[in-house]
Amino acid sequence: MPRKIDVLIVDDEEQIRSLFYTMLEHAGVRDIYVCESLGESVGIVASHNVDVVVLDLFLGEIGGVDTVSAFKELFPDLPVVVVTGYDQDGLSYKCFESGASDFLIKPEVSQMLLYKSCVYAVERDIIQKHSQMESERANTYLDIAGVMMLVLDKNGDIVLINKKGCDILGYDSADELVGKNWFDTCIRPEDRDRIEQVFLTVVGASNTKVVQCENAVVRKDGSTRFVSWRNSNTPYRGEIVSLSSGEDITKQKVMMDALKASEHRYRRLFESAQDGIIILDFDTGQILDVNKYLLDLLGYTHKEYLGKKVWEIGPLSEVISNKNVFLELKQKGYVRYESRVASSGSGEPVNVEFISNSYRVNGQTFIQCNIRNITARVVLEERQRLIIRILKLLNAPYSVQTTISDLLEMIQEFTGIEAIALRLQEGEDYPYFMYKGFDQSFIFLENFLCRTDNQGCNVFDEHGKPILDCMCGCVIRGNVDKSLPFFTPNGSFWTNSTTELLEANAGQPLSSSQMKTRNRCNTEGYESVAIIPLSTGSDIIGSIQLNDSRKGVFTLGLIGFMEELALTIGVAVARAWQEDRIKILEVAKTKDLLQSSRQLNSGIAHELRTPLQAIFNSFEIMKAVSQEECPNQLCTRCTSSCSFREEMVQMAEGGIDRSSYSIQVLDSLSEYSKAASSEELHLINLFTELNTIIKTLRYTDYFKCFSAEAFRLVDRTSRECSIMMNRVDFSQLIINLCRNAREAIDHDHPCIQIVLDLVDNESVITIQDNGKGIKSDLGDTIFEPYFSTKENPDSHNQGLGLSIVKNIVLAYGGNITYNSRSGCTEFILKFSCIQEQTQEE
Amino acid sequence: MKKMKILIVENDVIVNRIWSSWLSRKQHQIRCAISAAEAISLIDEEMPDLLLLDLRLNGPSPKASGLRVFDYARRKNPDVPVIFITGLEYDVELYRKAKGFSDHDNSVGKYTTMVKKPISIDKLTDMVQSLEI
Repeated sequence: MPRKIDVLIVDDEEQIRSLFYTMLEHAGVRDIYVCESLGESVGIVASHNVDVVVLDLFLGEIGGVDTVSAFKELFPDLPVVVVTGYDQDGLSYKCFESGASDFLIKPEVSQMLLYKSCVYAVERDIIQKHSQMESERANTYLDIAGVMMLVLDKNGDIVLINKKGCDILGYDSADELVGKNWFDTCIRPEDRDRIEQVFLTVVGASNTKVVQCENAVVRKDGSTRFVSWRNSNTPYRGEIVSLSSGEDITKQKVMMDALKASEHRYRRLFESAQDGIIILDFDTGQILDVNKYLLDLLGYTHKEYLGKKVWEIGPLSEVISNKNVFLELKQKGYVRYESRVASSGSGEPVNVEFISNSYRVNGQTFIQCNIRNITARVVLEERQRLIIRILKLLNAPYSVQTTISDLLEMIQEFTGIEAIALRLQEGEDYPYFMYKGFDQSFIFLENFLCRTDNQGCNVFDEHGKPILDCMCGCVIRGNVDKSLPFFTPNGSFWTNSTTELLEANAGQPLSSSQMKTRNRCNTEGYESVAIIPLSTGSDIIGSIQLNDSRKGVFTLGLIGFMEELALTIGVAVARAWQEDRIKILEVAKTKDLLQSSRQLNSGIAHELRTPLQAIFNSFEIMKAVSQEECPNQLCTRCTSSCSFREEMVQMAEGGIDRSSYSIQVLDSLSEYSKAASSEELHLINLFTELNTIIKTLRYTDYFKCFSAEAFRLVDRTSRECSIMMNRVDFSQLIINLCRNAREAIDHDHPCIQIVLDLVDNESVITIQDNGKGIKSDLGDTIFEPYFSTKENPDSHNQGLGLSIVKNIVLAYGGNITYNSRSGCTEFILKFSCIQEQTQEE
Repeated sequence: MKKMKILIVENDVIVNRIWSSWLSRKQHQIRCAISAAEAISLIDEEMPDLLLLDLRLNGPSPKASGLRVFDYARRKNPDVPVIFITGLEYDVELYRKAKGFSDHDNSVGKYTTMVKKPISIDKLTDMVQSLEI
């Protein structure tokens, strides 16, 4: 049943109004209103229900299409059926454009046409309103959907875009965009080809499969945002269009990029870190990642690590030796310790500090192990400790010999070098002062550096200095070309392969023509050789030589350290040397005094010999003559008094006796002087020398009465000990003391014992006898010349023995004391010992 | 006991006189010289059977003067026996070295003996007697 409608007829012609009224009335329209102008119609529409308006296009004051526009302006929601006298110039089209629902030509209007036109206009309006509502609702949905909706036709022109889309793109309304080409407007030129390709795939697809993509879109202001799309196709107004929903992922994208960048940064940190880093799975201990530094440090490839258990990797097993250690690591969460591992490069052990932390990422726990190479630090610490030890040693009150011996031992122990030696200036030359690990023959052959001519005389350079041979000589003279790789800026020589060095420099004379290397180091099989100048800072006083048969023992760092040490040692040695020189000077002074007094004695002895000769022989003749039977009986003295003759004999004997005694004194003076004839020092092995002296003495008449047990040497030393002394001086010293001991013994069970001992590197020689002892109140007066305890004028003691002893002992920087009581007297001699190693020199 | 012609060369006149007196008593024919020059002129006069020679005589070169007499006598008669009398062993060593004799050889060449002052008159007599042929 047709809808009941109310119609308003607006026409300025009375007849037309009546006609249409009648037509519509008959057709069954519910209420019909009529008026002749737009003005009147306003009142009617406002006060009555009007569903549709039948409008004449020409209402007097206005006409044509403007009438429709004017009416639609007044009542935009009211459907209008235009009725006009004629249709021309596309008037009907214009009317539709302006919002007319129908267009009728008056002559053709019938009752049915008019009625239906009105009814349809109302129906269409209702449908249109409904559809508009639907569309608005859909748009609202789209707008509040939160995603961007975009429909493009097959040319890529924008058919529809929702509010969200406009927002994202920075446009106020969709109208600004609809109809424009999407690619030209919203896609960056560089992306266009790629995105169009996606678009063509979407619209060309036979199904509505969703295609995803991401791209940047250009906003109105030229900035860009990133949109993640879900694209599909759909039919729209008879053609296939693309329908895309897009989400603004700019924020996420920026975050992702930032995350990626940060990840990249951390990766670079991880890879370029100067610590070895291992990432472990907390549960299994499997290696998840290792960085490059660790690969370089320990060897193995990245692949070899991954998936392995940490304690299965060779070098790491020294750090994390087994699963238990790993478990402990897991339990504590943080572990730190130091260890040594074998390095891949040199095979040399490196010191590492191992730090392990566990941490959680996204609910998963990892263990990160940092392995830091602390070799340099450890080496530095060890060196520091060595320097401290050396400084302590250098400041200790030991002799230069002891100090340097200990020093070389320390350095040898620290460096692990096979052989080490120290040269020190002695006169013009720089012989080895001490050495360890070198063959004696090597030292013997290489001991002196001064170049000599055929006559054995030193050869001098233009500055009047003796030319020193070999590399040692160059270093000591500072005659080094520091541009050459085997010399350091501080003037040391070093090589890790003498063979290669000689080959490389074969045929080319080294920088200075003065230099002549003997190459014995190489021929003796020493590959690594370093010679470091021993300097006081201003002067080079010697050198330290390090030799090793292995190649590649040295590093520049080690040599630098040795140079540092050499400076410390040089200064200390120079100082100690100076002190020693003063001591030596003092000794020399005493020796000089001794020497000159000896010479004087010698002169006196000689001068006295001839007069004594006369006196002695005179008494002898006197005695002989007095004893003779006087051939001439006329001699009154002879006949008169035989008692006088006897008296003469006695007097002559007395004279002979005194002269003999004087001759003995002269003899001991001579002996004393003779010892001074040689200043040469000998290295005296005390045990051997004392045994020889005892043996010799026992052959003499004076000691014949001693059995082997009664005159013997008792050795209490733990090692060989030797002193430096002139051999004659030493013999005289011991013989005098033995004679002295012998003289003190006046009974039939003589016993002399020489005890040799070593106390604090001092050799102690004690000569004990079981004689009558020395009076307690004598003190040191016994050492004064011509002092004698003898009561017997026939004694062998001329009173010089002990003073000679004392002088000799003092001249060699020794010490003599004695203890005495009846039945036991001992003289104690002390001399500083020479270190065993130096004996080989 | 053979009588020998002995030339005593000793610069100390007293020692010289004692020895000559004593040896004269032993029936030897003694001549005395107190300097090298005197000794040489006496050797020129007549070659002695034995020279008793002090090594150190006063003269321009005291050390060598005795040796000069020795050399002079030996040139005239290479076999003439000589007893050196000296104050110091040092002189003997010096002479040994100069003549290239062995250190261990106690005699200084043929028929030569070295004695150190002071020497007992008996020992001197024994030595002289031991040289008698």
